[in-house]
Amino acid sequence: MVTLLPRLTALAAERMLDDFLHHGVSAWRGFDPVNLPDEVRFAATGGSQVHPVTLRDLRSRVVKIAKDCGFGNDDEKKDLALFDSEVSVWLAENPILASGESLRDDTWTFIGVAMAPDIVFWRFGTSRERYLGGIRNTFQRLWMRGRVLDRGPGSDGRWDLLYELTEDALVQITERPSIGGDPILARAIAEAWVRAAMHHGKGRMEPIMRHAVLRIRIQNEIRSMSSLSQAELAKMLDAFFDIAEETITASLQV
Amino acid sequence: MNSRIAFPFLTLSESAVKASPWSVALNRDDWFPAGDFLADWDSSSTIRLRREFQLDPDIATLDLGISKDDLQLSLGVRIGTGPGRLPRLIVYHDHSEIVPEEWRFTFELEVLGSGLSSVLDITTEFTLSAQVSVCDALSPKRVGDRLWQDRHRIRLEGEEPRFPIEIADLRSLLGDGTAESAPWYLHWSPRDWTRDFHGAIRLFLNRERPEFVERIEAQDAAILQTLMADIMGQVCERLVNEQEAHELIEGLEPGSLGAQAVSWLNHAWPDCDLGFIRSVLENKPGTFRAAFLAVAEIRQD
Repeated sequence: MVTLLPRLTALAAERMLDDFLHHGVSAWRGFDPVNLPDEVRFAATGGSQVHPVTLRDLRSRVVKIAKDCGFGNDDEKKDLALFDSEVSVWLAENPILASGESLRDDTWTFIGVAMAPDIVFWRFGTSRERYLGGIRNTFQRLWMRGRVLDRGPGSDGRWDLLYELTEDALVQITERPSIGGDPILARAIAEAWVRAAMHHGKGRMEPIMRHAVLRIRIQNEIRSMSSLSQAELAKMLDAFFDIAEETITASLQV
Repeated sequence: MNSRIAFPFLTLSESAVKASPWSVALNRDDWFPAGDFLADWDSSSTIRLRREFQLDPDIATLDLGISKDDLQLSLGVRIGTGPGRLPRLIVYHDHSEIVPEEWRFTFELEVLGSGLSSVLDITTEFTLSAQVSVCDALSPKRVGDRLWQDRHRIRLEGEEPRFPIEIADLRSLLGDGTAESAPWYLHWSPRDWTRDFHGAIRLFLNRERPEFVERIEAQDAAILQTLMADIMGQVCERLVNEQEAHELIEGLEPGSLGAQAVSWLNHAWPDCDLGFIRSVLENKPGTFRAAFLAVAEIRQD
């Protein structure tokens, strides 16, 4: 049965966020999973409402990962990349987030604004889009990354793509709906990125990736890339990365 | 086929592909034509979908400029879901080769409701399933080349209207002495043009102005025109004023806030470049806004 998750409307979230940002994180009263804000709603039917203990555990686990990465300790260096990867894996593996409920912006608005705004503040500061639901939401984007870049249960290095790709590469893949919404294509691009990074060097990958993604998007409009065999798709993507590298090298020589 | 794209090869005409509309059934209930909204769905339901196809191989070979032996096609069906104009996640992907000579067939599938949210987005396509040996210069040649495509969207929940509108208390939303009494307020941010349009923009109608809300609900043409023109004008003005608008527009995805603004600009100034539109905004701001008033009227027609 589907676990129904709390939803927070945009209007209520804006008000709560204004309050949070105005008074500062130190004035935040914390998350109470038993007494959720009045504005929280659940789907009327289709499953059972999430238990407060589950919500408390959800927050506790995120806080634990954040603390391991420097949250709450100003003297410690923040390891934000590790935080992102660890939370991605954990969210993607969490069965209560495996349903269509996790595709809703208002679900993630609840998590960003009501459940863990302190973590969002630590990770991104006051940028509103990181609290509110959408592809830039602190947790929603990590869940999406985990969901599409999972190599599958039992695979070698099941979650390695989340650790190997740079932030820029992850954004290029998962924040473009035509690519990020298609797990077959998204994963194939991520695998091709890893191969290209080994060949050309991770430090050179940002412009190469942007160039390659542009070609992939154009090509995907006229050719159904995710219907190709795995080998054929990999070959095609490797060629795009090579062309991108050659184009960039040539432009630097002019 | 997608009219936005100029394909670099020949594609199938509508006479080569006869596709029935999708039929839908909830759980074990009876089939009915799939409209744009599916009532009574919830995440415990199973949705069944069905569609009939008939291909005309003679017309298809003529359309594509290939021999009948090379007419090897696949049917692809992708089910996407999630709010927004483009699906957030593809949850079902089927690609099957069409058996030669069996040009008439029915496709049927079941989708579990637990993985769905807001919208069921169904893309159907015919692609080339084998490389073509003998062909014209403009014929499709590669496996996967898209030859025919259509898309059908079914809303599963009533809360994703064609345009996101909400009746709200503007006093608590805006907290501004003057703005709180406005009849409407467009909530959006020009910080991110790549955001999905539906997530990036929301129109709030002032609860304290019931007569105005009633006119909207009654689809008052003049009010809707004014509202739409204001929305288009606000958004387009900011896009045109962006310092790096050219580069920005090149990278926009369909369904994004920026892509929607570009579409509005194209309606207002067909075949004009950004430089021209910017000069209108700078030198004749009244004309700039008036163009959207005119476009808003056309769109209602």
